[in-house]
Amino acid sequence: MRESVDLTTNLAGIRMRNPVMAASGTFGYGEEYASLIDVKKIGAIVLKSVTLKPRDGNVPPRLVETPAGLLNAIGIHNIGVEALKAEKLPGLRDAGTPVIVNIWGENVNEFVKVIEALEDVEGIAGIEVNLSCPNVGGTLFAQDAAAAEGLLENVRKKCALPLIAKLSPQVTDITLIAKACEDGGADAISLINSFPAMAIDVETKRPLLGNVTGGLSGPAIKPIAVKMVWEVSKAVKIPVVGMGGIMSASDAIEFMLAGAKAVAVGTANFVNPRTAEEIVNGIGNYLAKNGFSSVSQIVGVLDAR
Amino acid sequence: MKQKILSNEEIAPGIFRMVVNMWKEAQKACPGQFVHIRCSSSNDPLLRRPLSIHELIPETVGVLYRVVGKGTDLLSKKKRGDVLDIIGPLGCGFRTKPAVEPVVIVAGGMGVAPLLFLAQSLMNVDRHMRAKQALPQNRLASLPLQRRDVRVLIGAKTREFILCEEEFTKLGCSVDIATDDGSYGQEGYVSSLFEESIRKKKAGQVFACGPNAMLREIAAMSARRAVECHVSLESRMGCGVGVCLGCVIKTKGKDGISGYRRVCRDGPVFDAQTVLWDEFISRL
Ligand SMILES: Cc1cc2nc3c(=O)[nH]c(=O)nc-3n(C[C@H](O)[C@H](O)[C@H](O)COP(=O)(O)OP(=O)(O)OC[C@H]3O[C@@H](n4cnc5c(N)ncnc54)[C@H](O)[C@@H]3O)c2cc1C
Ligand SMILES: Cc1cc2nc3c(=O)[nH]c(=O)nc-3n(C[C@H](O)[C@H](O)[C@H](O)COP(=O)(O)O)c2cc1C
Ligand code: FES
Repeated sequence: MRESVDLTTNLAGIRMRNPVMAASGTFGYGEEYASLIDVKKIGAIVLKSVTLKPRDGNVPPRLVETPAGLLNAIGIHNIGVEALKAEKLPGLRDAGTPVIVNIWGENVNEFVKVIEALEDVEGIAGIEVNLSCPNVGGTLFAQDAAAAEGLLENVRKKCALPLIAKLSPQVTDITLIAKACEDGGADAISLINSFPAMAIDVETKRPLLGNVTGGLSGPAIKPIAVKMVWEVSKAVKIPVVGMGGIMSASDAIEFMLAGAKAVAVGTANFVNPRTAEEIVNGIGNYLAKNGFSSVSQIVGVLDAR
Repeated sequence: MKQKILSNEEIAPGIFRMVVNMWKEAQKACPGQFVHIRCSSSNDPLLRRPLSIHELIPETVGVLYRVVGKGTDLLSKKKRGDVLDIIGPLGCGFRTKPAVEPVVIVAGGMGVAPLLFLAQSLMNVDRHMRAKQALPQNRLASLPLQRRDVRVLIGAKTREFILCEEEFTKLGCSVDIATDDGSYGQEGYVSSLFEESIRKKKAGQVFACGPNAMLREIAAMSARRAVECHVSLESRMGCGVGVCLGCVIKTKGKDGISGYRRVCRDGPVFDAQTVLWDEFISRL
């Protein structure tokens, strides 16, 4: 019965074995987890945000655990696009799963330079544009529809690959930003990035993060993410990748029912590196049990009358 | 990654020694490495907790931990036969050299945890363990030990928190003790013992683990006498495997340029002279 279930997912031209991806910043470059899990079983991996020049990131402490959540302020600590090309991407060609490069820049110009540096590089299945990092300066494109649209237009001109726009939940109306990205030329929308948040040590009366504020991820943000995926998937025609607190197959299915064509697993990788793999199996079982033959049949079928 | 607990006993107030059956993975463990343990199967606490490998016992691995919060409290309630989700061994351990002597080991409080395994390894005991030659009952008596000059200095608040003295002695190490209140051994800090020790005889290599203030002092004393010193450091961890970049500390490289390195993957053991101590300590 299981064999008859079709999990393959075509996300705006990125052909994946299944709809479960590894979220940016939580899976490194695939290599660290290779000894613990079979990366091939994951639908796609999204790499840590890469910038034009290497970045050192924020001062520690960079992590605090909160109830059912993780607060992080990494600050896009990364090796830079040239090192990514020279040291990481060649090895990833044999990863056996599509590799999506996530890019970040302080301004449009920097984003464009990163995408130019990636032109014609082999082994990239798609580009995710991070409009929404809560932990760094620069323009917060995800909070300004016009800026978001302009950024997407500029990146689009230089990019022939499937383009995913990654949004922040901290906005008044997420559908406006999503539509702006669609108009700017995005092929898909991914959401949500971590939610801006903070935590304080009452004894020292100091913030628990070196950066004072950070981004909240993990189960604590899941209900917020599900609602936003639901709203955005109704508002745009392009596919949506849902993420935020996914720990189990049933969490992932929730996002898919709300309208996500694919999902991404972030913080849960730290808790259990096999989470994505287990979710793939769990979705298969759910489909079989409920008489579906293909995973696309559950996307957006939420009955919200 | 699911491992069975063989024992979990309180050996001092709030301090537990837990022995877990995880031989397949642990056989290759190096002193200074740690395991990453999921303390709850629910989402609270969400993240794993890192604990150093304390000792290698044939077929099993021991950890030594103090209950300080939710995760360690949950661990302390686990019983023989319970199953734990453990990843590891992880990280880079102590880099020992074969012939430099004496080796001085400095343990402050819970810092003793990774250092017993280190001493086992220096005395070659871990080799026997890995070959499963030792009998669990009289673990060390029957072993042909390496004769090495290993001096262990242990410091703690009071007598009851001086841990593993007997284990080190049995391995053939010399052991000196300091307590803050003088209830056992010399009164004062273990760093004073260390100062005396290296004044009398220059150490070949120094290995230390304990509170950060202590480590900084040991590092400075070692630097003054140009002795190689390795310290095991802690930081709050996310993944434990090197992907999240959440656990970094600032160090200076050989080229003098400073940069962040991951405690979980590049450490937890660092060459003490590469650690930017002021920055590290002020950031905790
Ligand atoms: C590489 C490494 C090896 C370690 N080995 C041992 C060991 O062998 N034995 C042992 O008892 N402890 C060890 N620790 C510390 C241990 O991981 C923490 O005590 C534990 O994570 C606390 O979890 P908790 O849920 O009980 O406390 P929490 O409720 O999370 O925190 C309680 C207090 O402990 C602090 N804390 C939490 N996590 C850490 C951490 N990772 N490092 C330092 N402080 C922390 C918090 O800031 C807080 O003040 C090690 C830490 C690292 C990084
Ligand atoms: C430690 C950490 C680092 C992250 N780094 C990035 C990043 O570099 N770029 C990015 O777009 N998102 C980053 N994210 C956000 C995740 O990709 C994801 O959107 C978010 O964590 C919500 O999903 P989760 O709850 O499953 O973790 C990071 C998240 C965490 C926890
Ligand atoms: S804990 Fe994630 S990189 Fe060290």
